[in-house]
Amino acid sequence: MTIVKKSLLCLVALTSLSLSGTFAQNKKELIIMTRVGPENDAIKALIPEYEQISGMKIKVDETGKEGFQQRQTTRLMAGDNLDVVMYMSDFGPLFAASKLLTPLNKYTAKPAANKSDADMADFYPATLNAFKYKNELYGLPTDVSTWLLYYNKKMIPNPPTTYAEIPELAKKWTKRYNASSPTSFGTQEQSKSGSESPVNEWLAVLWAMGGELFDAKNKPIFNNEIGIKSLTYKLDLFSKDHVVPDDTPAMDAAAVIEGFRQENVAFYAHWNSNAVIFADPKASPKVAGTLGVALIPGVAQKDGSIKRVPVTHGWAVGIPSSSKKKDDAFKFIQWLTGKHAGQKYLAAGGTPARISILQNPDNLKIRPELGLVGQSLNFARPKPAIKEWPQISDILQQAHASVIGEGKPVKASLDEAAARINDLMKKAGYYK
Amino acid sequence: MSPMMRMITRKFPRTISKFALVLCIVFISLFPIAWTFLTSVKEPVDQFAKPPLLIFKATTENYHAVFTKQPFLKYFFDSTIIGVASTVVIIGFGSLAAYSISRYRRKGKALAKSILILRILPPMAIVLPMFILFKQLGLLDSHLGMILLYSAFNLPFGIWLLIGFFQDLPRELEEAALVDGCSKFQAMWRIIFPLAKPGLAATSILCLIQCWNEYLFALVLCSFNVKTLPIGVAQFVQEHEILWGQLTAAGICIMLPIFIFGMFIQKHLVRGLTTGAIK
Amino acid sequence: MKAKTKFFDRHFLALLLVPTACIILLGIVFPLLYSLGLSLTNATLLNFLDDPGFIGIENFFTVIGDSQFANAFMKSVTFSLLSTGLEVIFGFMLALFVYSSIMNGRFFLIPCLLAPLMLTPAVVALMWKVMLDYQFGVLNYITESLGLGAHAWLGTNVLAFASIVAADVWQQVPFVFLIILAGLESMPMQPFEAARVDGANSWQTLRYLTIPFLRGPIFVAFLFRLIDSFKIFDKVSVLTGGGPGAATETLNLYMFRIGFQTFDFGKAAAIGQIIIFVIMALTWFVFRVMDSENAVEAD
Repeated sequence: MTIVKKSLLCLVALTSLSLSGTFAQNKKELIIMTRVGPENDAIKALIPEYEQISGMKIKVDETGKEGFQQRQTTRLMAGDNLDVVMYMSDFGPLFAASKLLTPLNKYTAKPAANKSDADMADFYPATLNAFKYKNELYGLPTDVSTWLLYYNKKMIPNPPTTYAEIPELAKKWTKRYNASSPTSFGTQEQSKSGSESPVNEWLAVLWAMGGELFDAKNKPIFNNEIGIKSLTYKLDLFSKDHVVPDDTPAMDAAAVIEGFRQENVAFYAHWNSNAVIFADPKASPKVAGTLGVALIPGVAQKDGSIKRVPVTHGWAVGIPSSSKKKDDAFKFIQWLTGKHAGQKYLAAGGTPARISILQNPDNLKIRPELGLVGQSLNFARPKPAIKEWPQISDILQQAHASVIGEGKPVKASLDEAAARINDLMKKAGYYK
Repeated sequence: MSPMMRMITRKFPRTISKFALVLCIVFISLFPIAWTFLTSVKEPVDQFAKPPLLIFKATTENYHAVFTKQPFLKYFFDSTIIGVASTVVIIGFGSLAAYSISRYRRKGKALAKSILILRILPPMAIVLPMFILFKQLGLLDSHLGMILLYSAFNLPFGIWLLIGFFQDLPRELEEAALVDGCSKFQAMWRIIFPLAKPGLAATSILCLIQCWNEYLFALVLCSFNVKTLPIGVAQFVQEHEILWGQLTAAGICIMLPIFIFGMFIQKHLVRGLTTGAIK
Repeated sequence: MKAKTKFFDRHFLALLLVPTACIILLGIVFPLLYSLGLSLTNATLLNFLDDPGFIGIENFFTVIGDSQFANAFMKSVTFSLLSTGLEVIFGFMLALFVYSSIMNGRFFLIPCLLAPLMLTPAVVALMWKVMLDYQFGVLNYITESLGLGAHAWLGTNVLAFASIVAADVWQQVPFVFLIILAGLESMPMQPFEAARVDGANSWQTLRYLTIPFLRGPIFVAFLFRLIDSFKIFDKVSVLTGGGPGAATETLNLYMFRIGFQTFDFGKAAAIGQIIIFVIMALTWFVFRVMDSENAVEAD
C-alpha cells in the first residue's frame, strides 16, 4: 500500500524536522526577546559588534505589538528558554515581585571590565528606579521616553504653552469652526479602550493641575475636584468643543500618528520617539519640512511660570530567572546599555536612558529633539513604581473609556474607579 | 441546464439582472480586498490621502520590502507544510471517523458531540497549559507540534461537516456493494467517498484556511524554527507605527496560495454531469 | 489471517475512530483540567511561581457579581446571535443563488466569493479599521459623496457594534456559503425529477425538498459559526479595543484584559470556564431544537 508507505515517510520526515528545533541550546548562544519597532532595529544593528567582541551568538526573538503581551507573559511564566527579555517599566515591579526576573545587584556590585558601561549613576534616576524592587535591581534601562508637543509650523508659528489656550487655538484649525482650515481638526487625543495611552495623556493634565493619584497614605484621591477638572478638560475637547476627531474613542497610537502625518490636525502631544518618524521626509513628506517640536503644555502658575508634568517611562533588558546563562546574559546587557553601545543605539533610532548621552551637545545634530527630551526629563514624572500598577492602570483606563466613550458622568466614573482601587490596595496590604 | 436547476432558477428573473446581482455581491466581497491591494501598491504618502486616491503612481517597493526585510519565503514554507499536513490528517482521520459515526447512529452522535468541546475551548484560556504541555513533550517550536495541534483543533469541525455530507448518502449503496462481495472498507472507499467529493472539497479548503490563518498558538508556541505567515504579517504592526504598505502587500501575498488552491479544488466541489451514481 | 480480517470487519466502524480519539484526547484533557484547576485558585502573576492558594469557587462569584462581566456577557451573546443569524441567512441565499444561476464563469466566481475568508484576520481587521476611519476612511468618502454625511463608525456605541458585526459577517458569509453550496451539490437528483414530474413549483421544491436535504450543512454551519463567534478577538481588539467605553467588550476580550493586563489568572480562568459553559449551553439548546425537528420529520 503505497499510501501507507508515503504517509509513514512523511511522518518520519516531519519528526526529524521538528526534532532539529528541540536540540539542546548551543552553549555560546543567547536569546533575547524584543518587540518589533525602532528600538528592536537599533538593537539588531548593534548585535554584530557584540558577537565579535564576545564570541557569543545572539538570536533575536521578535514579536509584533499585538501579541507581545500574551507571548511574553506566557513564556516567562512557563520558564521558557530565554536569556534576555526587553520589558516596560510599567511591569517592572510586578515582574520582579513575581520572581520572573533575576536580581542583578550581585552582578552590578562586581567590578566591571568596562568602567563606563557600569556607570549606574549615569542612568536617569526615575527610569532606573522603575526597574528596582525592594532595593534590588532587576533590569538595566535601554530606553527612556517622555511626551513632547508636535505642531505644524505652517499653521502655528508659536506652540501653545498652557492647557487653557488649547480649545481656542484648536478651534481655529477645526473645519467645523473655520471652513478654510487646511486641517480637519485642531488637535487629537487617544481614547481607544484597552490601551494605556489615554491614561498617560490624562496623568499629564492631572499632575500639571496639581492633582495626585494617591495621597500620602496611598489612598486614591484622583476623584477629588482637581481630578474631575482634569478629566473634564479631556472630555470637553471631544464632547463640548469638538476640536478632536469624531471617532476619538477608537483612536490609538497608530491613528494619531497618521492623523498628524497626513496634516489632518495642527498639533498634538505624543511620545518623543515619534519625532524621528515625523522628521523623516520619506516617512512624513507632508509635515517633515514644517515640523515643530516643543515641550508639552502645562498650567500657568501664579508666579508666571508654567507647570508641566509629562509622563515618563522606560524600557529595560532583564534576565529571566529561567535562563541558564545568567553570567553571559549580564555581560551582554551591561554592554548593550553601556555608553559606547548607547551612543550607537541613539544613532540607530533608540533613546538611551543615559544622562551623558542625551545631554551631549553633539548628539543634537543627529537628533534635534534631544534637547527638549532632556529638558522634559527634568520635570517629568514616572507612573507609580508599584507592583499593582498594571491593575490600577486597567481601572483608570476603564474609567477614562466610560467617560469619553460612553458618556458616563465624570464624577461617577472616577468615584467608581477610586472605590475599586481602594479595594485593590487594601487587599495588597497598603493600609495597615 | 438540468431540469432540476431550471426549477430552482425559475425564482430568479432574467439573466441580465442576475448578472448585475452577481456583480454586486462580488463587489462587496472584493472591495476591502481591492482596497488592500491598492494600498499595497501606493507610496506611503498616498495611502491615506484625502480624498482617497484611485489614480496614483504605483510602486512595487512594498512588495520588495516584504520579501527583503523579513524571511517571508520561510514563512510560506512553514505555513505550507503545517497547513497541508494538518489538512491531510484532518481529511484522512476525519473522514474515517465521520463515516463511522454517520453509520453508527446513536453511540456515534454522543461521541461526536463530546469532541465538540475541543472547538469550544477559547484558545486564550488554554494557551498557557498548551505551552507547558508542549514544553514537556518537546514539541515547542516544531512543525510536528503545530500539525498535531491544528489537526486536533480542526478535527471536530472536519468530522461534523463530513458527517453532514455522509448522512445524506443512503445506506443502500454500501449494502449493494457488500452483496456484490466488497469488504466494508472497499465499500466505503470506492462507493461512498467519490460521491462525497463536494463535501470533501469544501472541508479541505475550509480546514486549510483555518490552519493557514491561525494566529494565537503559532504566536506563543513558536519562535525561531517555525514561523507562520500570520505571525510574519503581524510584525508589520510596530511599536509606534504600522507599516501599512508592507502589511497590505504581505496580506495579498498570503492570500494568493489559498486562492489558487480554491481555483483547483472548486472543480471537485461542483458536481459533474455524471450523476448516475445508482448503478 | 481470516480471524484478523473478521476482527477488522466486525469492529470496522469502531477502529476508524481510534486515531481521531487519540489526538483529541491529548488536546482536550490536559488543557481543560489545567484551566479548571487554575480557576479554583487565586493565581495571579505574583504567586504563580510559588503556590497559588486554593479558594474553591470564589472566583466564579467574583466574576458573576462584576458589572463588567454582565456587560461582556450581554455583548457576546448579542454579537453571536446577530452575526451568526445574518451569516447563515446571507450564506444560504448566496449559495442558492450561485448554485442555480450562472454555470459558466464559476471558475473564478467561487474563489472570489471565498476571498474574504482567505485573508489573514489581522489584515482584515486593520483594513476595516482604515476603511471605517472618520477622517481618511473610504466609507466616509462614499457616504459623503452620496450626501449621507460622515459618521464616526467606530466612535459611537451602536455604530461600533454594527461595524464589528458587519466586519464579521463580511468575512464569514463565505464560510456558510461554501458549506451550503457543497450540500447543494451533494443532493441526489431523483427526488427533484420526481417532483418536477408531479408538477411541484419552485417554492414547494425549495421548502419540501431542498431545505430538508440541506439540514446537515445548515446545522453544521450554524453550530460552528455560533461557537466560533464567541471566540472573536482580533477584529474587536483592533477595531475598537472593546470600546467606545465597553460597548463592544465581548467575553473573550474581557478575559484577555483580566488575564493579560491585570494578570489575575485565577479570575481569567474562571471567565474561561464560564465562556465554555455558555457555549455548551447554547450548543445543547441548538441540538435540542434540531433533534426535536428530526423527531417531527420522522413522523
